[in-house]
Amino acid sequence: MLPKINGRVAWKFEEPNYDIDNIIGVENIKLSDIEQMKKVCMTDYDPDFISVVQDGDVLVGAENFGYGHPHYVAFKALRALGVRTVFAESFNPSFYKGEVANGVALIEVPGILEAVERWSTVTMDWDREEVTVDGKTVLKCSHVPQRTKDLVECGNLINYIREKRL
Amino acid sequence: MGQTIIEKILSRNLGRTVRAGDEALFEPDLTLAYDYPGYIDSYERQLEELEIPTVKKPEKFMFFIDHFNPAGDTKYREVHVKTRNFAKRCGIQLFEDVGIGHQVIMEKGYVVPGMMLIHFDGHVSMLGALGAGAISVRNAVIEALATNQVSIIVPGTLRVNLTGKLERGVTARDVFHTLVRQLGPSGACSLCIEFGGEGLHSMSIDDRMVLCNQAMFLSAVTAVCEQDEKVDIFLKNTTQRPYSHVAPDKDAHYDKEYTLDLSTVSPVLVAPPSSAKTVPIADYEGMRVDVGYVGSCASGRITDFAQVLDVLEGKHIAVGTRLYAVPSSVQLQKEIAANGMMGKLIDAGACLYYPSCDFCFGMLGTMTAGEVALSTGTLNIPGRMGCTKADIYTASPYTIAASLLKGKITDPRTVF
Repeated sequence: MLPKINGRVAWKFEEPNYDIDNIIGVENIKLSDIEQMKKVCMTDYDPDFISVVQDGDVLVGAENFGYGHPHYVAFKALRALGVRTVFAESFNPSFYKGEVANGVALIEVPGILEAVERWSTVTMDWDREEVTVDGKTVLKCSHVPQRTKDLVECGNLINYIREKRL
Repeated sequence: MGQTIIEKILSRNLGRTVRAGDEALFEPDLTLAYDYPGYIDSYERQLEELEIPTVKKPEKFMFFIDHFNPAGDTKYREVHVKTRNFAKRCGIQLFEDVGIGHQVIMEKGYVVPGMMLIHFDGHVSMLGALGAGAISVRNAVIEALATNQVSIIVPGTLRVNLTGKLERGVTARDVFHTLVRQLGPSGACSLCIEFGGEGLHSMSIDDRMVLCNQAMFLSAVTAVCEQDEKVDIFLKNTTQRPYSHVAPDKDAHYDKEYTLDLSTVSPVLVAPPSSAKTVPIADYEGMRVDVGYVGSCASGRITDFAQVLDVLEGKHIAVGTRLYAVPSSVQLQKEIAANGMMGKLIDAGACLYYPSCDFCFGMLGTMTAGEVALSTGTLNIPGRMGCTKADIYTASPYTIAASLLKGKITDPRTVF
């Protein structure tokens, strides 16, 4: 079953072509200790991020979110902090493939950037492929590929192969 | 409605007609992987986790040892040994000590028009120079190892029509990054770039490899070129595999179309901190340069070294600067040794190194804080050359040669 997504917007990245390595800082892209990763996560944006973020929170991004040469550390840290969903105007395909395979729900929603503020609540309706912001504004998602749904449902690529492909 | 080149390649692979947006399971003609901690060594562990003892069709896979080569640390050598053992156990062909995989696979004749290939690495798009559809699937390489198939969404296409001719001193790299400047870094977001037109046909296969190699910086899924007699000549010298050209239909649907007149392209730099930041060379002219690097899968071929020598033959780089010249493969190394280019590069002050990916990601030729590099590597993000406080500008071999000649950023068109 697909997970319920009903989370607060822990951060809104307004910059198009956002390079997700900046979430942990380029000097930290080779970190291997998860506690260290969490400690540096988002501190350039909000020094208290680690204490205010909650399990189930989501992120919102602009166009071509994930541009650049994305490394896995940023989202390892975010996943460890309970962030497993990003709604964006659009995603960079390289980032999209890599992170969906880690079970992160990357959902393209045209108009999302205008529709939310930090700490807005966004609810996903998987069947209708729609999101609702603060219980009021309804936005249509771009078509969510079956592969994305399968990977999010299975949690990661290995579970997906085991459950859907073997 | 007709089809684009990538739609035709993927339809041929699947045995039925597919169009942009279709999602299907494809069996790649070849799945490629290279040694890197977390890649091939992970695949072996993941297969164990899935209780799959070996791959079913080893002939559909190729492994390459092209990173950390030669290893400067025992932990990297361990990755090489694991890669060798894994390949041997599964019966997968391994290429070691022959150069950078993306180059090697083409010069050894494994790539022909119409093939479909996958890799973790995004720069595999360069195989599109020969009319192949080479797609980065990131960590989904394990899907192919486990099941022979990979789930892919057929991309739409940005058609780029190239017209006119490049002037001396301007290169395919300037063309690609001019496209980034004009279309924006999301100009081909989730699309395949299809290069064609008389301008493309005026460019060498080496040039086309550069164009396709950089596709990810327009946020493309991959890139593919129309084919012509230059492709046939390249293949005549490298392969006996049968093939036919894959051309787009006249009524193919393109998500976007763009025309660029090559004669309007000038030298550009890609400035830190990201590949999004293409700027005219004039913006930085006169700025001090410490290091130049001509190599990587994107460059490091005969055309690249010819461009360097067009500027530096019989001359010498400025005192205090350094030039790393790293051919992309051992075959190219042999060629530049035989045709005299290697000696001329050394006479011009270049440090010639063994083919390897290592200069491109900072394992060799590491920079330090405050230094400025001009590089034909694939990428200019902070830290890419080993130090987050060094500045990397990617540029053409012409621009690198002219700038090292003067010790400062120089428009190559001013030094002929």
